[in-house]
Amino acid sequence: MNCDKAARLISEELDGRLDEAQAARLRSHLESCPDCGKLAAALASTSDLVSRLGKRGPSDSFEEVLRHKLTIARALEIERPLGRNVFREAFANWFLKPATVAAVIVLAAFGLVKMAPVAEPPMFAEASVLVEAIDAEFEEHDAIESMMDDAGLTLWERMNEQERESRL
Amino acid sequence: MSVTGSRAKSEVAAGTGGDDEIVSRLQAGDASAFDEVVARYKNRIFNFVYRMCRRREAAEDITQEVFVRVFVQARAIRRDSSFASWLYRVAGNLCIDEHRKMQTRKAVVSRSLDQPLETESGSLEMEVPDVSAEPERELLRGELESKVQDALDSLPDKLRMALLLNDQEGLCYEEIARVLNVPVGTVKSRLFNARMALKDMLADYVLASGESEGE
Repeated sequence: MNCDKAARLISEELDGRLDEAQAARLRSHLESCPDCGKLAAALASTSDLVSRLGKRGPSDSFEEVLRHKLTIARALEIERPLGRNVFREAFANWFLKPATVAAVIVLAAFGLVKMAPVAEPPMFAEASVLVEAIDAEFEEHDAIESMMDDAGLTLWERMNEQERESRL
Repeated sequence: MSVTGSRAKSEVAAGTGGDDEIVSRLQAGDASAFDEVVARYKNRIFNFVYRMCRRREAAEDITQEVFVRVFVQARAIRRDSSFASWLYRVAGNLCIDEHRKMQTRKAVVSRSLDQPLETESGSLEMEVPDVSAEPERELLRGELESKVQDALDSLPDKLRMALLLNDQEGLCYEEIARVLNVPVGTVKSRLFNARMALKDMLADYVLASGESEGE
């Protein structure tokens, strides 16, 4: 066994990773090589210094602050499905379908208008009402999203404030 | 046989037994499982993070972020891999991110400890704790710890993380390999290189430590 190989095995031996045969070969080398013997002692001492570093623990307020952070995470998790899934679902279920129907009606209305030489005001009026209804739906969703953003922001600010206070 | 007082490590010794059951409960939405995770791992993760970044406030923030991720990503935790490894991996990655941020800040801000800190509410003097009343032994121990930590800080992140996981957290090679996502051979190599580098940096203390043990 050469000294380079022995040096690497010393590190593994420190961690109890050598089998009996490897350990015996290493021991034999260390007995005949003073430099590697010193290296073994120095590496053991180094490793010991690191393992004897004091164990540190978090402060008393750790869990309280963690609870605040979880509350925020929970709020964001609630907001996310509302903002993503529920809204998308609602959009698909009760907006996209009527919108599609409305678009078809509007297109059909335009088609009929073009086909018919004389305008049929009631048809335009009906399409106009549908377009207004669609706009209203858009506005309603924008308002809901805005409210959700405000609520999330307020909650976030409140949590940050509490966290700051708890740290003080 | 023990050339240098070997320390065999195992996953059981590292205290990771029973994690599968906790993770199952966590994924089923059992709130008490989360409390158990925090109780079981907060000290270990905090200690690892503290030794990685050395600042208490940052260490608390990072440790809390680890648990927030447990909470948010519970369903994404794979049961075929060690939960402890997953926690340490998240913590380690956050530490590396924090280290990068700090390096950027250090490059921008450089100030003296004696220089008052200017804030909106006035000027603040930095307070350095007076340890003159503490016993000399505590001072020496504190100095040694500080030197060892300084040496650790000067190691590259990859080497420091491997060494801390092994020597401080008691993880076995296989666990460390999972945390760092590298082969076991790489873990051995990093531990060897880390110890060789530390040995040189702590030469005086290594000899002193060796002598004191022999007394």
